[in-house]
Amino acid sequence: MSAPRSLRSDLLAEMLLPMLVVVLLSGYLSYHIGVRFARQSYDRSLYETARSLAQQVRVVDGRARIALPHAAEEMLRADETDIVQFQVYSRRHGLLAGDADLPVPDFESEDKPLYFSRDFDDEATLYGVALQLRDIAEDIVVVQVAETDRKRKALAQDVMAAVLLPQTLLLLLAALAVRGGIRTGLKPLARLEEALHARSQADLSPLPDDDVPAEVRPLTDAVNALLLRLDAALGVQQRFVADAAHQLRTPLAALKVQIEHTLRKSQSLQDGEALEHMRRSVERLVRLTNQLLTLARAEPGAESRNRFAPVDLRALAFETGSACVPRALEQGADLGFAGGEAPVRVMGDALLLGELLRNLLDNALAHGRRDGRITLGVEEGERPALYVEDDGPGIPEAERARVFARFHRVPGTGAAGSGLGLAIVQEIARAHGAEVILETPSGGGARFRVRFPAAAPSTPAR
Amino acid sequence: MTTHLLLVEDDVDLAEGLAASLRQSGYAVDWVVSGTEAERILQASEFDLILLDLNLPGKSGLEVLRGLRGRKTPVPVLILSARDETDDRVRGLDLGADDYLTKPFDLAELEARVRALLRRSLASEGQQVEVGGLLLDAAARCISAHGRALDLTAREFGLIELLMLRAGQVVSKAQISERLCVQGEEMSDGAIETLVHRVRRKIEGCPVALRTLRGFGYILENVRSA
Repeated sequence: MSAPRSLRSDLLAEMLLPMLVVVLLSGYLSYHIGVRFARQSYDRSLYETARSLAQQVRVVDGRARIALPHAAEEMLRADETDIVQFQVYSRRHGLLAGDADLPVPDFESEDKPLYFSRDFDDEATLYGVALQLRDIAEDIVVVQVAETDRKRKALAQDVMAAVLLPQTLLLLLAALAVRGGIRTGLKPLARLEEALHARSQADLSPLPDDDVPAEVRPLTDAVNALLLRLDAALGVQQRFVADAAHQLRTPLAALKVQIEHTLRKSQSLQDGEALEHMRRSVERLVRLTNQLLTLARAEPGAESRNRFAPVDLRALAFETGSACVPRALEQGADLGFAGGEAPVRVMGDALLLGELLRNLLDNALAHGRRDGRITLGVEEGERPALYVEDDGPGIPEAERARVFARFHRVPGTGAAGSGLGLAIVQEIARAHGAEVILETPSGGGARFRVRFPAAAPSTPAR
Repeated sequence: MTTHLLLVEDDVDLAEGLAASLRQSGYAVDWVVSGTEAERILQASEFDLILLDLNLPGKSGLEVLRGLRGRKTPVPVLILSARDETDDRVRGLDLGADDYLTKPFDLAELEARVRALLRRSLASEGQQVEVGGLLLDAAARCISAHGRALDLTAREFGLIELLMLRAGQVVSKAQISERLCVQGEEMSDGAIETLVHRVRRKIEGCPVALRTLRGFGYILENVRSA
């Protein structure tokens, strides 16, 4: 696959290419206009020189003559850069003064000065002007002044530089401005990207589109429509799993009651053993069904968010723990409660939070010591917490990251389980924005702490 | 006197298993499969306890319950439901159900709840209630063991009565304080612990255990004679 096209370089290229053409065109035009004006002023000065030369032509003894002192000719030819040539030529008497090798031009018009140019040598071109003086002793005198074009070329280069430099600067400034403009223009996109990155998988609420420019609105609208459909689809799926689990409950209840009843009546040891196996299987099936239902309920979506209400963690923990006491006593475990008298409120789903605690307690009963000590605790504070602590063998370092994975069971533990318990704990915590921290108490064992987020400022703590 | 239960449940397999088990445990069980039939039989006969499914054909369990409480019938009702939504539970209990059990349940758990409900119902009717060799006569405000009345103060009686009516369940210190004190008063944790210590000595010798639960409170349990 090729690298993705960049909107920024596309925009830059599409704006700067036409600008470059405009700059080049305007540079070309300015250069030519500049050179034209320069040539005109040089031609003018040549013309002036030719005119002053012409004024020196006199009629002496009935014929045209020119008296040009040596110093004047020196001055005429004085030029630092260019070679200056001149010629005063009589049609009747031939060369009167100046350079003989300047060819006498043919005049198209009799009165107008004739401007001409011709090759001088390999590098230079000769630019000149020729005048015709008529009615001088019935003669025609041609006065020509010409010079090479080094100065003209230098000037042309100066004009070129003077035009191109600001144009190039302009182009650079424009490029910078365009780049800045594009960056500012794309900022809402960057903000959208950040918002999408920062959001958790559980959050299917629409993207904020208040400060999104009109051009990006269709994109956010489409994303929001997709999120809405996703939310609805998730809701349908959750309801399906929940309905399926509910439907399973009644036949499971019948199976369980029938097996337990038969087990009570059973006289034969062999039947009893088989029934006991069946009872345990049904037990696991029941547990798995309940866990699937809980997982479906804890999964993100509008359904789960709508169930959130203020929950008193202390009361919930006390009630859930109390219900677990008879089972703990049966196992010989010392299940205790640690927490104050005052309510500890969080926003949440009481049913799910109860399930979370039941799973942590089940986990502690299954993996703690046979007659060990289990403590269920509630902590108030800015970030309320629940914890369940046992004094069992604890969880090996290597297993800690994996205990929350679905269907994962710590190798070497004999306890029967689906491996879903801690995954459910994790899922429910996540749905509440809480984190599950696995700690090792000072005396050994394992402590699962569920830390809730600080209450949002919009919900006043009562 | 046989205790008479009404089972309202439309799932045949579950109902037959349940009825058979409860009969084996010594209860007389009538079984109906719909809300309408439940209404009819409730008009005709009296029951000591009703096991009520919520999701019934025709009239729903909640409607049966509303009708029952509308007629001020004090019979204890234990709801059996496949749904465990908090709303259902709250609505059921608000309408006057005494307990709520989610399917599938343990038979032992169901029977324990039935016993607890019957104990409370009996006590409120002034009849005798028995837990682990202790006999409670709420009307006479007397508790006897091995045929002899125990010598109890009012608070000691109140505590044992509370524990017996909630046998097998956790009783918190807050509940004890609420039950034994007049309004506005409160018992300190130390006072409750002293009271429990005294009561424990007085019921010594009965096949019953009053356990202390760290942080939770207390529980009164039958001690199996095994």
